[in-house]
Amino acid sequence: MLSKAILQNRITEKRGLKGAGRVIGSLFRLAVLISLSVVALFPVIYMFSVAFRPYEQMSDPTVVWIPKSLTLYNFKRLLEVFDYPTALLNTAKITLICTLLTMITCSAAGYGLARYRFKGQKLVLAVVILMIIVPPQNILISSFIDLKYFDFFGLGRIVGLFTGEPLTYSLIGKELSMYLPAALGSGIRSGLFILIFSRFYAGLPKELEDAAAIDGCNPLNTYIRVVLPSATSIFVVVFLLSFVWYWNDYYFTNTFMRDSMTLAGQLPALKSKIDVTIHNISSGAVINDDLVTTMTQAAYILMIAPPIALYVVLQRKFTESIERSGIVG
Amino acid sequence: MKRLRLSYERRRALTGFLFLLPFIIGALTFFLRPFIGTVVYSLSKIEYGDSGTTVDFLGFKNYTDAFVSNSEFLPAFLDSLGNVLYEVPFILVFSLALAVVLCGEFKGRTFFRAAFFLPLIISTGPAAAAAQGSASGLYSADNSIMMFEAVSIEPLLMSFGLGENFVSTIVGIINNIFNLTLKSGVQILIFIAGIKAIPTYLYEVTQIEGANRWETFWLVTFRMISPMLLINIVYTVIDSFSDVNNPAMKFINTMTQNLKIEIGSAAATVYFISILLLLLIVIGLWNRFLSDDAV
Repeated sequence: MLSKAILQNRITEKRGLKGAGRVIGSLFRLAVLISLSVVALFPVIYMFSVAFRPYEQMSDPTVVWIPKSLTLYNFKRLLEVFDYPTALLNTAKITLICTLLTMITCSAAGYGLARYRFKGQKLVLAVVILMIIVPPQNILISSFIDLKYFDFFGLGRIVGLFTGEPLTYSLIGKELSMYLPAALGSGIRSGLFILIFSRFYAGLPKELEDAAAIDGCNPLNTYIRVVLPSATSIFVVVFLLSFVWYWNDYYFTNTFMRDSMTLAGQLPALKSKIDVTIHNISSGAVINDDLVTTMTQAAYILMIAPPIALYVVLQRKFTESIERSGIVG
Repeated sequence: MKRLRLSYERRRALTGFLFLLPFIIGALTFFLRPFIGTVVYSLSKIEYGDSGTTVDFLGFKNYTDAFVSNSEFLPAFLDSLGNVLYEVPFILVFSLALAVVLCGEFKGRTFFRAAFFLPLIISTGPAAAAAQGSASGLYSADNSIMMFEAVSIEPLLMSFGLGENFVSTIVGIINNIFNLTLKSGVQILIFIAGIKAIPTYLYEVTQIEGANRWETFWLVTFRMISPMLLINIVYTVIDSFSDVNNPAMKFINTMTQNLKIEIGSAAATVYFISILLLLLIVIGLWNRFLSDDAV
């Protein structure tokens, strides 16, 4: 099978475009990409420029972008204050579990919405869209109360009819307060993922599923064996987006889990922590704002490195998905 | 025991419902209940007394307060709508163009794909505030913000005889390119996935038929990514509307912070329901005219 790029090149060759034209074209592409990616990369360039420079150079007017010397001192000092390995493991655990649960539920819901017709379907779609619209902070107070007095989907109240006291269980301060909504399709941005899955599944050809059904495959098996293998690329996208949003979340983790040991949860408070620790350790030293700045940027690098690495590895999967789908041709 | 017999349609409907069941339970518990709680607030009067908080039913008074007595919300609402109308088309065109370019096979593509994914990682996390703060500090330090200012092209565009409003819109977009690039991360990713999922044989067909690149784009790429285009329209509209810097969102958040939760909730309820209606109309029109498969 020919790759798309080769085909496109052949198309241009056929139209008689000269080699020079193509060179100019790719130079133009490169120029546009570089100038736009500078805008996107700007904060990261700043992070690297600051995190690896000795803090004395922060107030040196001759140093703007490129430090005169590089150092790992900021990282070393940071790890004294901040238990990075524990926070990293905690974040990875919560993020991965929530992302996997989100993918399972949202994919199934999207498939149900795309392939089946039933009463109230339009209403379900409206709720999905409303979930994307309403920012979590606008219903946070109510969600907090509901999680604090979680009544097992109303079952606790039925028990309460017999015992006099409704049975409730506080999920606040427990990791379950993150896992349970994720498992039931109400995690971070779940509505968007359901919409993405449903549009994707609606666009797949129905023939393979019909064939499987005629061969006696039940709906669940059809979904798992026939539909899922052709959805790799969309799963990669949802995985990446959900991973990043859970990784960066400090809003839910700090509200529902109180003192969460996640990277994003700890970063906002890190500055004051650095402040206190540094000025205690080096007794008698003047207040050193420059060191706080360089250490904070070092912390940001440690925070965003894992999702970037994940993206670089996973983006290759985009190209693999077509060959595996079995729907081609 | 006799097996329960259901008609084919009934069985299909039940299967579809079962696929959605976990989500329906979750949405009822973790979304609709708190959301309805917020709507109840908007219909009530909340008193913060010594003996705790009391919620009394009030009717629609908060709504009239938000819309009639308070003269700020309606203009803010219209202002937000204006922002969305100009932002959405630009972000969509921008992200589609970038996605098409990034899907090509060229040297350094991994680097550039990662570069345009970065804003997503940074702008949603705690690094966002710091990155923005540091950026603005540096900009003012060495005037590099001039890089993104397009004031100087204003007279040039005017001299072409273009309308004043049109010119100021263009200048606004160029000045805003920093923000718009930051807002396009999700859309670029969704478009890339859509383009990569297009079967190769369609490109083979256009090659045999002798279509050029431009025709191939409109006949194959654009057609095949139309489901992704709808998702991106919905996402971009919602993202612009629920941006905390949007005048209407600012109003809602200020009200909530000032403990006028009732009025904030009333404004929020109207705001969200009108966005929902707008999007349902868009999706309805889309399914009617542009697509043969309904959502």
